[in-house]
Amino acid sequence: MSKVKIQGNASGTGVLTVTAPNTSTDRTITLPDGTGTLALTTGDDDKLPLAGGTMTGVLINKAPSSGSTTLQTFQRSDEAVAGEVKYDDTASTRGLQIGTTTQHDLTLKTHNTNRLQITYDGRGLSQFTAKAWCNFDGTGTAAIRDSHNVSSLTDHAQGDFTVTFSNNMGNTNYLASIDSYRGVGDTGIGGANLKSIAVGSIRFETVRDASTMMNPTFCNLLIFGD
Amino acid sequence: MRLIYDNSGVAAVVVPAPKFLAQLTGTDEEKLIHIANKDLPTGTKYEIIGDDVDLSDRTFRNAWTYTAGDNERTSEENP
Repeated sequence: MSKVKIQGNASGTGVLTVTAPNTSTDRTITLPDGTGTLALTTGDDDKLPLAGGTMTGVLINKAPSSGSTTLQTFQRSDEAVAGEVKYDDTASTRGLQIGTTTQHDLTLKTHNTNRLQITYDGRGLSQFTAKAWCNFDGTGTAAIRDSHNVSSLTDHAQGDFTVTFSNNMGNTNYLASIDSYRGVGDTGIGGANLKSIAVGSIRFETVRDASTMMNPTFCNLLIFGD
Repeated sequence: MRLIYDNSGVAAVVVPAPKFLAQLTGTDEEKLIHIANKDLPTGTKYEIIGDDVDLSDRTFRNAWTYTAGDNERTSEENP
């Protein structure tokens, strides 16, 4: 038969009291077959006192009946919560949210390899998300309709444009898909010729019927790569 | 607001991306200077022009030239 040994501490002066609960039922508390420190409730019930260790089973962070519930995954020394897994029960936004709450990136990995990084400023870095895109009007006063990771459009001349990225590409081996259209209903074949490619920008000519430089009503640029 | 500079004898016009502008802080002029320092080669002489400058008539677009004005600036190394 194994034994139970309660041992005092020669350095301490306090008295350890083991208190029975208010119950009329016999209870048995079985201690784990291992060496370590038991976790206790602290009265500060929003914290677990244990640091480290491995937990098996299911961790449930459950709201009492309905309502949002959040598992905060990291808290910096300045008390700013940097990451959380949250179930938002608000009717208009109901769903699971995983992310950072500070200016930090979110990275998803498989096979211990980063596959998708969502930067704090909203860019997706992966092999399967667009690094940049731009839709602009090259007629009249050139203007960008909408864009992503683009800082400016330079109108050099007739059908001669440069799109500059907000954040540089990793190298010049990226995919650039460019289409240009003179306008709705135009029967000419719009296209683009690449003039120069750099990590920070791409310059191209917009042409009609393969040769005539034209200012396109619609020009679409799509970039994938490192 | 836009930037204008001489590019091998032809005036080039730099149009900021609205979403990028929205990320920047400061006055509109400070934002344009930031873009100039970022997107133009260091040492490029340029001017900031207002939206009231009409550039919509692209007839003879390749003949547009840039003549330095009183507010000419020089792009600096991107910080």
